[in-house]
Amino acid sequence: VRAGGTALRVLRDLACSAALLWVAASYYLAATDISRSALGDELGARGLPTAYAALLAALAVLLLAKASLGLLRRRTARAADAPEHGQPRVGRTLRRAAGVLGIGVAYVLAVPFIGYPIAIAAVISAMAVYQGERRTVRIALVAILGAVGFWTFFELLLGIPMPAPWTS
Amino acid sequence: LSALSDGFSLLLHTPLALAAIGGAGWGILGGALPGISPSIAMALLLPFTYGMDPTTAIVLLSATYVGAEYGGSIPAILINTPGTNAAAATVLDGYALQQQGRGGEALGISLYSAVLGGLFGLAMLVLLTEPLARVALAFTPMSYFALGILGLSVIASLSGASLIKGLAAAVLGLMVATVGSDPISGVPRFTFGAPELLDGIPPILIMVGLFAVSELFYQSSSTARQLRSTTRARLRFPSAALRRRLARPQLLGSIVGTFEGVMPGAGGTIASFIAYNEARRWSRHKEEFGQGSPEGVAAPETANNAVAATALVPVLSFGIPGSNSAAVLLGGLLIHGLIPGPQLFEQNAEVITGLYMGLFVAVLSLLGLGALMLPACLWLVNRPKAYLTAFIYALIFSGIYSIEQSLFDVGIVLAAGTAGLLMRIVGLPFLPAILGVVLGYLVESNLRRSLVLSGGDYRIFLEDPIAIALLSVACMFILGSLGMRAWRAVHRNKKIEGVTS
Repeated sequence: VRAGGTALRVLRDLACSAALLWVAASYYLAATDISRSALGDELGARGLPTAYAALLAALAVLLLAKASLGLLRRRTARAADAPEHGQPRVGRTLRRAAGVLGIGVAYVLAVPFIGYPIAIAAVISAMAVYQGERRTVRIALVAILGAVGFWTFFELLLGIPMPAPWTS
Repeated sequence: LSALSDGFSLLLHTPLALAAIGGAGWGILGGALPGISPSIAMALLLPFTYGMDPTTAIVLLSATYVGAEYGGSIPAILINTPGTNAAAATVLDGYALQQQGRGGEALGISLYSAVLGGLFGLAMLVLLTEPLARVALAFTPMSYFALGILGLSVIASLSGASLIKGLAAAVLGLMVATVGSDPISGVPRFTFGAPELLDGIPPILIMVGLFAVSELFYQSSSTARQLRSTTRARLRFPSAALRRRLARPQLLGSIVGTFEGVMPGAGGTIASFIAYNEARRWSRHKEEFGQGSPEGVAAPETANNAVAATALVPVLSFGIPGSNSAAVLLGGLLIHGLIPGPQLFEQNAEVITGLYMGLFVAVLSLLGLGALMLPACLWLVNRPKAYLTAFIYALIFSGIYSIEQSLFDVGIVLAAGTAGLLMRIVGLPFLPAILGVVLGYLVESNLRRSLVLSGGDYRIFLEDPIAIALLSVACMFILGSLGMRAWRAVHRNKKIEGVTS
């Protein structure tokens, strides 16, 4: 996240406050759906969630105000800002992260069908390739050994039933 | 003296020492694996204890607990993944040290602090069980609510550059803690029809997601062909000068850990966060906290290992299990016909003496076990980055699945990781959010239980002396942190004015 200049930092705060406002509003709406119970107390099941939503909204507004003030003071603040070098850009970070997330989601979807050992070997090899490793034989060997190691530890040693193929 | 000599005789004539060392080793391994909590590591051993004599069985289980509480710090330092809830506070400075190539030093500090904290906690357990037990018994829902507020009061210190963002992150954590069945009426909240969410979201899923998965997401974009980590592959214990510097945070951690340990339900997580906060408050090197401070590793590690010993006070004295691990230990006691309570100390004195001696051996054995196991861990994190990240991802999936055999949990971790990446991008700190997740249920359930007791009268909190004391300390923490921030802001503005003029 290259946020060296004050303008970018302010932009980041504006994005943050917008996201927080969205979370507060969504959470509040979901809180209004909580059913009332005859066993409820004074505060009720909705009490604290509603308070949290209000508090988060208030903090988001405060952050918005602070970010706006920051824009006005930009020139003064710039002198004290040290640019943060060497950090990846937001766009690239999100794109690369989406790939890693995709590998994770694919694992969750596939493991009930192909079973744990194959799925975990696939995760290891996919991640290694995604991170720039190109030696195919080495990747395959490491993935197989890794999968056998994980399966032996969790399934055989700890006795935890890991997903078997076609369980869903 | 006679009890001490009985204890040594027990150590020599029974497999007690073996159980203590084996349990600690198994615990370290369990604690170091994200998802295998101390309670799971203990529960896996429970069936093997049936055939053992009661003392050996109890020592094996307690030593596992001690080892697991320490083991949680290893992945926290090396791969930014707290192995246990209590290791969350160690992540901040431990992982920062690892990124500076000082992972061996951070592991040495955590091991040294864990042993000191464990010994201090054990001494308190032996010497002060009776008075400490009275403290535990005096806790009411109002006191627990105040304890939760005391835990939350350190948010200002953990907020980093922006207090508003720190508070917002804490509120997000509190919101996550409201997912699941309502603590009073039982109605489902924010479950969206998913039965998996009725029991709430375990904090470990959020921790692993925020710290470990978001770190993997973030690192995947680094263009530098960083094939190997730069960590020195050698365990390094602190030098004499560093040991002197660490004495203060370790003392603070030991004291905080002792008192948090005896309160059922408080646990090592609150202790480690409060110890971290206090270590920072009293440090001469405040600016290093969050950037790789040795004190930032020592304080929480001492505290959560002191908790591992003093958490036995309510279990042994009243049979109150304050945590999942304590519940497994209680199960172990009951399996062998040992009924907790004052009579346990009179009728089964040899079990108690054996337990104390076994714990002593277990805590000391952490040094040897650590020296054996940590170089291997350091070697592992020095593997090529492509494989290291691949194995961390695979370990996260396997460890998280093994908690409840649930792929839904793996999904939650991926979602938390995505949220963590977005939080990094907009600059929201993780630690306040973690604190909110961990303390949210404690605060809400006890606030509302108190109000049920009082018929909705908030003055009930002013009638409970422990609650008043804890709330007063929380107020002092908050005011102190705010005052310090204001002072720093004024100081910084003066500096900026100096630069611009």
